[in-house]
Amino acid sequence: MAIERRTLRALIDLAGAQQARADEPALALELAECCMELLPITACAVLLADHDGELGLVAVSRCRARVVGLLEVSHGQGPAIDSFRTASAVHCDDLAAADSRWPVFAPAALADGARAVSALPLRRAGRAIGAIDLVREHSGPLPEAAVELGQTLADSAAIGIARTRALRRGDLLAEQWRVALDRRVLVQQATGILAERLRLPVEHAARLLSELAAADGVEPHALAARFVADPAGASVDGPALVRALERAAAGRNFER
Amino acid sequence: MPPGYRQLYTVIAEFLDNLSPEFDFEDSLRAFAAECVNVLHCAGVIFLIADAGITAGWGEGAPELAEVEAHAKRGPGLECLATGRAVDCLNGTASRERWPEWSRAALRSGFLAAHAVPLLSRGETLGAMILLGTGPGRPGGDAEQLVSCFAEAAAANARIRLEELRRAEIVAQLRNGMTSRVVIEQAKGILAERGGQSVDEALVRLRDFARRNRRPLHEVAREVIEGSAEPPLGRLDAEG
Repeated sequence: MAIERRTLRALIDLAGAQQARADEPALALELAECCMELLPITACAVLLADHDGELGLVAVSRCRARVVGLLEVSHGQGPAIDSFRTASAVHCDDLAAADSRWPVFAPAALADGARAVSALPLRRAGRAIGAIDLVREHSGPLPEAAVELGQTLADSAAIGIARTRALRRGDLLAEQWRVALDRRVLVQQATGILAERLRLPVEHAARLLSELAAADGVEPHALAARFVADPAGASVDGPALVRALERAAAGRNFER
Repeated sequence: MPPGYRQLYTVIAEFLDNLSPEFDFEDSLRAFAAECVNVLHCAGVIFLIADAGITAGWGEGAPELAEVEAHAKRGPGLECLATGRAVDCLNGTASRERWPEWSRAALRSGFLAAHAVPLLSRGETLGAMILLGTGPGRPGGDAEQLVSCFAEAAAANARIRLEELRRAEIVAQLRNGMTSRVVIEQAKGILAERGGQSVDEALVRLRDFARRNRRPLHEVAREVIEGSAEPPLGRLDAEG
């Protein structure tokens, strides 16, 4: 199947070549709009699975698609649901004849003006992460070329979404490491402050800090942060804190 | 260029999908360069990623030429990196003057022309893609849009790779137990308490002292902690 230049652009943007950092909803919307533009359909809904594997409606090209998508999600039946579960295309060329297939979804979608739906999975390595509904107002099959292009669009978006998720995981990880580093810095600074204030070797000061934090029911870095913010202890609870520390220092045997 | 771009799409999609840490980025760039050579009908393609120190080339003589550019620190790829703009070189006098070593090496390998485009990501130039040709015209011909499809995909993956590298640096810092950093942070705390200052101000004093006495920061910090160097501490206090 030949792809045109414009389509190529759309495909590689969906797959992640665009410069701005797109998030999942933005990619899903882009997919819906691309499908509307390039395929002979009247509406498109994009559904993605959450962590628990439940499909949720993420983007629509038009109101009609919202109704179709929501019907599926709320009743747990419909072409996108089937497509997602089987990771394969699911076609319904005439919803009027689909009562036995989807007893609640079919009549409701029909009542809203949808007549035919093709659902295609968003796949990566054989696994489905969601599905799209390609809705038409007239009965009849979707042309093969359109099915192929639709699947290619969906697969591109699957790549783009996977990249977005990987980037987000990476961001979270980086943030966790940064926080851990900052906390360590605070603990070491507070150790120095305590060591100087109570004339202790730094190893003892470090131990005292963690013991006091445990007694207070806080993390060492939280206690450390208070010290570093106000080393002179001039804040409201400063003097009380200092007294408690000196009591603790007096009551503990730091000789080996 | 054939009317159908399916093959091109497949190549680019596979490259964009290839983010697994098991895959070596340099290898994946090299494979991508091979595909570029194929699709763009040029004699060689080189990818340069600046901060990662990566050069990946495909085509006879291309990897060697990349080495020459890296060694000589001059060439169309590096110029493209520096300016963030495309560089065209039809191996005339101009390029022989700008990049003498590169020009000589290119000619030796039979390359008569080069076209370098920047790998742009969010306003930054992360690297360059250099197309090499053995004919007189611009390598890649008029396929500017196709070239930018490849360049954008390379930039997108390069950005991710660079973010991973930066993250690995932070992790390495933590994992190494930040030994010298521990000492410096503790000394900051000690001096802050002693001088009734903030830890940031304490760092300034510590740095100034280290610089004036031409000693490494962590060494001075260690002495502060051990309380061993009393006269220097006295001096520190006196300087306030």
